[in-house]
Amino acid sequence: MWKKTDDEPTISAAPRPQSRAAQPAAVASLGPSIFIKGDLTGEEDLIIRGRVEGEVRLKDNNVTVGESGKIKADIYGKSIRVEGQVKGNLYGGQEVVIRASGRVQGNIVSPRVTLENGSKFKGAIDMEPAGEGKSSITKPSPQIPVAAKPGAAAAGSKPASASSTP
Amino acid sequence: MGPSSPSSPATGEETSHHQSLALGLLVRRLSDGRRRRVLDLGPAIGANVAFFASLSCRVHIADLHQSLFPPGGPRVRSEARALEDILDRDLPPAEPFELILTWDLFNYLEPKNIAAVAQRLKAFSQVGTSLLALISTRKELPDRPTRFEVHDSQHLIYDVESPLLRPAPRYKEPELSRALAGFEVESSFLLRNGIQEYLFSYSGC
Repeated sequence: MWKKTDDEPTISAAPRPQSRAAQPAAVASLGPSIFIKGDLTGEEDLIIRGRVEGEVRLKDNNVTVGESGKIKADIYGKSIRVEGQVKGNLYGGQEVVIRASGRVQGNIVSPRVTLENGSKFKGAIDMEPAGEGKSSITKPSPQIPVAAKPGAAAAGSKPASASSTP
Repeated sequence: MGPSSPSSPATGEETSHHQSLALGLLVRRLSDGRRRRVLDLGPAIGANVAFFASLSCRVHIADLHQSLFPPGGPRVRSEARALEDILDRDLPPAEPFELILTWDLFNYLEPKNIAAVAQRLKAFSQVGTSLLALISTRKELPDRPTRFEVHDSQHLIYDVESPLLRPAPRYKEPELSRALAGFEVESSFLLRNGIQEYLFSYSGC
């Protein structure tokens, strides 16, 4: 159904294959000029660089919203990466990653959520899906080097005074 | 990232940090494993979401900073009408939260606008809801709100996004209490780095 065109960026812009099986899955692509109004379902990984209004259901596959992608829909995927714009809820079975260029307005439900420095997000984040125990917490991306910040682990400013009322 | 030292965020340094006694108090309160809801009025920061999620909290990010202080836009959009529009758009549907994080937002609002925000926040509060506010006690502060990032249960890292400074209102407790009607000061911690941390509690009145 999805035709990959030659002038599109290479697969290197696609999701990192960290969670994939040894045999690479097929990756379909929606080009920047494509506009789909309706639901999207399938059984292969998908890169969306165009516009989609509807619902994206690829529960067992990876979904990437490219930088030029504009989605007004809920997205269901195994791993969801957002580099473009999404207005809708994201349901990631394994993880949701909002890249630095990503803009998301909606809610995220996933056991692992990464918000890269520079990303914009408004909505609720639920990292403890029903039926699971304590969340698996994803540390911020390398672009948010919390632990690497110099002096961070050292003692901070000592309180000059502390009061408690009443 | 620039150099770091445990000094004031108002000195123009890019990254700094401080020991947060208010955060420590909140963490002790949130560590009983109960599921809670947190309303974060600041920007989406991965470390903060991860931290509160580790305490079984569901976090809702409103990012008023982005709307009130858009990049390249006017420094402070404090007009009452603009503020109301932003609150209408950015705040979630009314539901009670156990913790509201305002960070240093109130340093950038006039008392009447703090009161307008507080009035809205009542819809998201229940008796006992905690509200964290970081108020500058220095004469000047960065001209844009600071990104506060939870480093651990006792330390906050802050990124100062602008080298420009502006006069700080240096709100005192009585002014804040008047503006935040319905919320009562539960604890306050004056830190040497020019920040006074306040924990308010919603009384329902």
